[in-house]
Amino acid sequence: MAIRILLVDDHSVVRQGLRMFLSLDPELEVVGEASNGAEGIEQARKLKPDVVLMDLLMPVMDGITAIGQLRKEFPEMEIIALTSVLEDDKVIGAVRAGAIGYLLKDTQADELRRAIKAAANGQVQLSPQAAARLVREIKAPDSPEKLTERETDVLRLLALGRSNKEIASELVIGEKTVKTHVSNILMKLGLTSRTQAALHAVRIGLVSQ
Amino acid sequence: MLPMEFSRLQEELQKRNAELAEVNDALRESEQRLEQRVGERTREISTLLRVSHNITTTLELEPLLGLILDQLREVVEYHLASVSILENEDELLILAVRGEGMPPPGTRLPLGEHSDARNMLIERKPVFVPDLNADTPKARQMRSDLELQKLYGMGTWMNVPLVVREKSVGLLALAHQQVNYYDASRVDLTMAFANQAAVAIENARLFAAEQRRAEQFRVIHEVGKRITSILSLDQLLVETARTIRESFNYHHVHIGMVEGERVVFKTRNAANPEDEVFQCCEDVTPIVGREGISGWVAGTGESLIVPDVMKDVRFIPSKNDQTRSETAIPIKIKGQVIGVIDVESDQVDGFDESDLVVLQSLADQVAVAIENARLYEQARYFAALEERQKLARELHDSVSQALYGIVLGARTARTLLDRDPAQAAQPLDYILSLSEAGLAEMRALIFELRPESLQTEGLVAALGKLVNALGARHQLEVRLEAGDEPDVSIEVKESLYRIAQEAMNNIAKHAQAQHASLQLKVGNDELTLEISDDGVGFDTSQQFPGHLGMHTMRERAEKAGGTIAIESVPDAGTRIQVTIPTMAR
Repeated sequence: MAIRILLVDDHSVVRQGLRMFLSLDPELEVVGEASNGAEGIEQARKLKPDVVLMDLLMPVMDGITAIGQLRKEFPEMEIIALTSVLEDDKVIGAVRAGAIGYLLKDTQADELRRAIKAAANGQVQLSPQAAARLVREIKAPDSPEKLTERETDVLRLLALGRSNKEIASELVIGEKTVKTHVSNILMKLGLTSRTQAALHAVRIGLVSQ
Repeated sequence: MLPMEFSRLQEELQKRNAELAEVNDALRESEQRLEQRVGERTREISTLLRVSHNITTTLELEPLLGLILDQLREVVEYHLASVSILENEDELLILAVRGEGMPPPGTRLPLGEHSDARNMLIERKPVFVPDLNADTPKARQMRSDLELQKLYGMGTWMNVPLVVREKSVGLLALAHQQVNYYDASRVDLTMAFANQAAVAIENARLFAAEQRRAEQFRVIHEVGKRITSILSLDQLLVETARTIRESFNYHHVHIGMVEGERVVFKTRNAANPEDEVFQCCEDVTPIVGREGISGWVAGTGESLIVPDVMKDVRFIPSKNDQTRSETAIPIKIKGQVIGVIDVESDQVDGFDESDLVVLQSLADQVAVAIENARLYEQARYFAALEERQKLARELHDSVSQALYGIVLGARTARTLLDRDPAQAAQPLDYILSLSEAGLAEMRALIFELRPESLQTEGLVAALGKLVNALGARHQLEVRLEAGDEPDVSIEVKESLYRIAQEAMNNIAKHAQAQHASLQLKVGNDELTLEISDDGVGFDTSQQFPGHLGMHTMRERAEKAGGTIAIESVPDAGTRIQVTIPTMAR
């Protein structure tokens, strides 16, 4: 089944281009478009996409606010921030709000497709430079609840960039069980996304950068 | 009566008469002499009064000294004469001479420890030698005092002190060829004249000092006026250094700024580029508090006069340096030394307290001007920064989005070429329309970067570019109605352009309009710009952050001397009308 995608960008030319390009890949399907954060939330409620491509600078409601609200409402929905500005506070804001990753609009088009598929599989992917910056900025609450041994295993693999499927086969458990572990991990750590969890794993030395 | 007795009496009477006549004659003679003397004295005194008046009403020192010697000749004759001023208590500076044989003006004569001249000046009493060639101690002493002077042929000499407020300030020296020509009465007369002359000289000196002070204040004022209007720091320093040097006739003037731990001079262009010594000094960068006179002043924050640089270890000499004395004054802002004014003289002891007063006052003015210039440069920097940020936003909003779209379209087209070439037309059309839109955006942005193009190409052309760019970017149908280029100032054109730009941006971002129109109408006595759309509109009674631009538009309209009317109804579009009266011009 194709990955269902929602495009949220205030520039119609960008939405049009993305739709055209992504439609080449049979594994991807653009199911809707929105021109600002508020519209994006509305469309997400209606369409329940797997992945949202979210621009950050938009009128009415900006992307970071929309990411926060969507993650709260739909923890299963993964959001990729797609922006033409590489400003620290914007990137950090997006990850803190719960985006699984972010891409610059000058990223290779094929990389975009790969990133969407990784996000749909629950794979965390951050460039090393971005990770180093984010580790400093994104923090779990001071005394998080202790994770079980199994949860720690899942967190370590998640931080290594494995997909749900890969984690499942490595630990010899079901994919659904992996997802349950991930939501428990997020709850215990007081975090809202896999990316934040991965950064936490780096911080506590579970995996190296 | 006896005839004998009578004749005796008669004889006696005749004798008495004769005696009386004699006495009368003597009396008359004496009276005449007296009259003559009174006449002479009156003449002398009136001459004295007249010449005194002449000299006391002359306030310029140099002509006064000449005048004193010329007027003196009318009171007492001489063949040689000189006026000297006492300087530093131990030398006489000759200021004016008459006759051949005297040392020229400017000559300094040191006063011997026990010389007659020194004693005379201390006692404030004239000294005279009736016969210079006599073999008396006084004549010998005088001959020895005057040994350097060619006084052959002079028979008599006098030195008369110039006394002001019971203090000798100089002396008048006179010589005459005729031995014994100078006597007590001529010396007295000369002394009376000298007293008047001394007052006149003192007045002239006071006047000169006063004039100098007035000139100093004039220059301070002048410099202040000139430099506070200069807003470029480099130009300010160069101009100040040049003005100070020219106004006070200083040898060299440098101004340096404290940069880190060094004083860096900034006034290379204040002097002739071929003045190698000056340029050499500009290259020196003394360490604050450790090197050079400027460095010392920058370190301590105190002014300094070095009367003789050769005797001061702080002095850094340059090749062929003619500097003999130097002064440096700190330039301070809020108690902190930010620079130094450094002035050099080619004479020892070239500066006194009054130079310091003037330079200090100038340093204060320079400090204020520097602060102004800095604030101005800062303001300009921030304005440029803001402009750049705005441009970056515009680029982000327009060209970079279009380019990203082109990349996506081209990638799609490339893939379809292999897979299904017939399908490639759609992404190619998309690329074409984006490229055209991108071009229009770039033109509009370049227009923004070159505001002068509003002048060269005109407002109508500028509005055309604006409409094309926004129409292409937001797939909005925008109609432009504009006739001939209106005949208004560039400022008014810029205001109208900016209002149109703001309004069009608002339409693109908020209005969700299908159509928009922009009209520029040139009336008989007014110019009207109208921007309207068929979008969602807004409640004009509400103030909300998204419409901050409305406020800016109103300000711009008012700045151009016009008014703005904004009409909008929710879901029924917006109409903005700017009216600029043109009759007033």
